[in-house]
Amino acid sequence: MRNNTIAKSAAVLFRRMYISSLWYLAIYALVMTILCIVFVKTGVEQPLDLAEHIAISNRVFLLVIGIIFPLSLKNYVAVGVTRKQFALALSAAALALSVCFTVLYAVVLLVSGTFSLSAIFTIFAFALFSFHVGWLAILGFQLKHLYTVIPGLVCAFTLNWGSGVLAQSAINDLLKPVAAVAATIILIAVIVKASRHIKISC
Amino acid sequence: MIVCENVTLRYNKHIALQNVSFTVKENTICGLLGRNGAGKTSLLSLLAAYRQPTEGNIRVFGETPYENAAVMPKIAFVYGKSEEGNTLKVREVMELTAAFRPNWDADYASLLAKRFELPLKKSVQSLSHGQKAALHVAAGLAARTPLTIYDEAYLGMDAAYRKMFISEILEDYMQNPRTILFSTHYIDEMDSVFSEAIILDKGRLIAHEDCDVLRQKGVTVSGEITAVDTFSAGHEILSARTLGNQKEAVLFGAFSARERSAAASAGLTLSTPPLQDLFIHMTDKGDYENEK
Repeated sequence: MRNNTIAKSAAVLFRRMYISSLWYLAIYALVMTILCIVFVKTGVEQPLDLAEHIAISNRVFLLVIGIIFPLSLKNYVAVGVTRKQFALALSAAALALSVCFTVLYAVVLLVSGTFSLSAIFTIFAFALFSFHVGWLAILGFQLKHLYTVIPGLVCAFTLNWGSGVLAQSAINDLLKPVAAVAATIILIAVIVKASRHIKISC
Repeated sequence: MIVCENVTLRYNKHIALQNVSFTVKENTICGLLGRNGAGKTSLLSLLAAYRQPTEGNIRVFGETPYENAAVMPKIAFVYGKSEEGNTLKVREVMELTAAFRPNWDADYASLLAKRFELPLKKSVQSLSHGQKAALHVAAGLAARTPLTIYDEAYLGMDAAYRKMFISEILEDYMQNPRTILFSTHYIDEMDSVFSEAIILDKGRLIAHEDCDVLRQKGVTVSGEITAVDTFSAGHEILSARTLGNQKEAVLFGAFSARERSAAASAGLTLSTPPLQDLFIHMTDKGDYENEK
């Protein structure tokens, strides 16, 4: 019954994330199309590195929904879902969404002829990590104490900056996503533990 | 069913609840009464596992409800949520609730949606205040959770809907008994629903009794003005109204059989007083415990 609750919550959350993602992708595609037309018309010589641009944009999007979606905790507690079940369900939904984005990215890489498994693994790991960094940033506010808000924000900024540095660094391409996955697992553990103390206001 | 032992809740320096202890048995409809800021919502939010008490213990179905995956699905907390930014449609809210409530009755939910004239395809945030209240109470009724808590859930509903809601609660309770906790300011409308009442005042529990026993704490006397005044002398008068040479007064205190017999001899009619008048008196004075 409890696993069923997590699965049900994850399915509902994923459906909502998926709809948000469709909007994001539609707007992103429109913006990129306009940019490309502008670049062509104005004769810009340096072409856009589409693959890198998509990777960064996806991470930013996951970061943003990582801030927004945890705020729906109240609606799930209202129907009898515990905070721990919600946290696990939201992580599962984020994992599923990261997989979807990774598949799209793989298609882009295939089309552009730059497909590599390490790039795929990296985009997946960093997307999932970005989601949980966003979640960490909002978690401090949900706990409603100054000593959680400021450290939460500071940690989130530091991790986000650190992930950007790691992504750009010359470290072995396989180590980067492994580090991101390890950090995500730690973040999930921290978030699940801390979520227990979130008080819901009526 | 519900056991609260010395429950205290503090919001920083403000004490919302202080040493509240009571027990509510299974399959009871219990009213929770109190003035604004008495601690009603705070108490109900503790029972619904929205937060933990600062001190004391709460047990629902024999276990602590907070973060309890076995207990939380059995509790429905229905209150006036703002629903600002809720873009879900009414039908989607019903479906979402149905997915998580094991006792959900879909047919009953459809019937309630028709009775309350809920527009299923409209988004929740675009509903009127009364329609939102109707949606919340409909979801609460159809969920059929073993413990259902209504915290002024029908604020904004018109009189017709409130009457319908009360009738649905009673009818459904007769067919599907469960424990219902009701916080309300409309005591006159709701007191026929409760079998017992808990009264809070400034964070303290000042009364928890069967409603009939509570009503015995006072009496409504009506008759000729002079006779009523004579009978009322020496007693605390909670309210009084006069029409022509007739007067009706609500008096606080217990009356012996001899006094009741004397009243009858004087041509006076005695009846049980409105719970609301007793409640106002008890929470106005704040010294009910001393009078007991």
